[in-house]
Amino acid sequence: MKQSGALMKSWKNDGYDVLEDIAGQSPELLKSILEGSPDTISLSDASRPDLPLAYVNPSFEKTTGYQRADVLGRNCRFLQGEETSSDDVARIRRAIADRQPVEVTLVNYRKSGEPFLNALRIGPIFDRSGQLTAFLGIQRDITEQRLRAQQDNTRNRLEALGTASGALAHQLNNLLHPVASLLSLHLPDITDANMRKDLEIALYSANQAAELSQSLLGLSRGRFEGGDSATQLPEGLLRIIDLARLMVPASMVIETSTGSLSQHLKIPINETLFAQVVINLIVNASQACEHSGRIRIDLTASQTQRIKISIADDGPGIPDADVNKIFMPFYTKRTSKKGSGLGLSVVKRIINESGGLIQVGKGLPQPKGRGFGCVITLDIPFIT
Amino acid sequence: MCQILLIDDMLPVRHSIAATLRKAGHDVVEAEDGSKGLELAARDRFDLVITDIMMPASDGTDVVFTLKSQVGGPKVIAMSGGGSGISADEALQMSGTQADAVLTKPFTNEVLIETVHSLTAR
Ligand SMILES: Cc1cc2nc3c(=O)[nH]c(=O)nc-3n(C[C@H](O)[C@H](O)[C@H](O)COP(=O)(O)O)c2cc1C
Ligand SMILES: Nc1ncnc2c1ncn2[C@@H]1O[C@H](COP(=O)(O)OP(=O)(O)OP(=O)(O)O)[C@@H](O)[C@H]1O
Ligand SMILES: [Mg+2]
Repeated sequence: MKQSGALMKSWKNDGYDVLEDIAGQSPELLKSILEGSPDTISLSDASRPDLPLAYVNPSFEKTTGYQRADVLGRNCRFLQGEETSSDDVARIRRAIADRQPVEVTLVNYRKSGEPFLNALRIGPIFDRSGQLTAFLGIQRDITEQRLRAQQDNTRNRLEALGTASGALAHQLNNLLHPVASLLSLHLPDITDANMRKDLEIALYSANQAAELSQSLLGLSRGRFEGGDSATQLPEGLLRIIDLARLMVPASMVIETSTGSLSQHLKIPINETLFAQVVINLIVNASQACEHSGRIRIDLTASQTQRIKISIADDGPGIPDADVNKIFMPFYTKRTSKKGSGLGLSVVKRIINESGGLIQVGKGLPQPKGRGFGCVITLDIPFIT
Repeated sequence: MCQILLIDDMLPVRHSIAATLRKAGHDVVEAEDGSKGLELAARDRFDLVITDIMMPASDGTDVVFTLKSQVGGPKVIAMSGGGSGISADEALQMSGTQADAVLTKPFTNEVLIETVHSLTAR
């Protein structure tokens, strides 16, 4: 009671008074604040070379997996690794040299090697005489947030695409109806054989366009608008593949086989989420094949209330050493800022939430090489 | 040969349906929205009214309900291809309970003639 009264009094002055009071009268409270902080706190000694860590709180230990004893006396850069952007590190370096505060979001690694996205803030700490004494670092693991944002972003895009393609399909249908209807109405009256042939080709094209427009309509119809928590197979998968075809170059040949599926089944994944999974995998395969290759999608039901969907390509495949890394967030072989490396993390998350499993294996034989491409197999329970 | 009133807001669509019906030997009067259609229906006698359901000015569902609430009124076909976010089946759900037949757009000339024939042949 006495302590908090003292705090309230000096609050009106300035921050230092508060801290001095706390430090002087109740060092225990100061300690509890740091130790109990839900944010990760780290402090580096500015008076020693290379800014060794002088203090880290329990949150830091929890987030990074390192114990205090592992890290005190070391520069915090041990958290960095393969996927850490050197531009981001350079920004920190410059800010520290300039004694300026800095905010950077970068890939760091826990002691286990697992990557996480660290929203890091570092600020210089000056004492009352203006002397730089320390740097304070506050870290926040925003991996989960980023994955969710990625997932939401894709979902919004799919939903917008569904809505737009639905509207487009209706307009197209209304425009195509007169073309097909009037051509087929008057074709029988055309006596000139050559002219007939020409108009038959026109009619054929109009009918093909109408069919395409019908499949666009299949994409909308509220199917990508949340709601239903299940996807119907094979229809849902075929619809998604139609959509994915529009997202990869025409030089990618996509073959589908659902032959061995005798009944219609449902899997416990919302169709929008399932579309994200399948589209991510197809786009990855297309990228691996450098947009010219073959993708084969097989749907098979196994005896044990589970369904297997495999997406195989004839690209370069994945080296054995990398197989375990590809599902980790931020792992990407795509250079520059093009790949977020979150595609497969989102896939894994969606599949695991439905009680499904993912396996990686050898895919289709490469057209020229002696090796095999990659196959990703989803093994998902179905609803009965 | 029947007297047919055709209501559709899209001119090319209306024109091609009317042409198909005329070629099959029917007399067709065209209207571009539901209220004009109802005016025409009140003035003249038709064997059959074919109306689009989703039209901007006045909805085809009104046409179906008005005509079907009259005793001895014409036969009615409701047609729709749906709209943004609405499937053809959903669009036709309401009027489908009242109409004598529904046509889901797109339909072929053959289906149109067949449907008309099945309602008007006696
Ligand atoms: C208090 C403090 C906390 C830091 N925390 C992190 C961190 O959590 N993750 C990280 O990648 N770098 C962190 N750094 C930055 C690195 O320690 C280092 O300053 C940075 O890598 C730039 O220097 P370098 O280019 O010599 O490595 C922190 C630095 C300080 C002073
Ligand atoms: N079919 C495949 N063949 C070969 N390598 C693949 C295949 N699919 C994924 N990979 C490898 O796995 C890495 C991670 O894939 P992931 O989808 O998670 O990220 P990304 O495709 O690089 O980025 P993003 O999906 O955000 O655009 C890829 O960069 C690639 O190296
Ligand atoms: Mg990807």
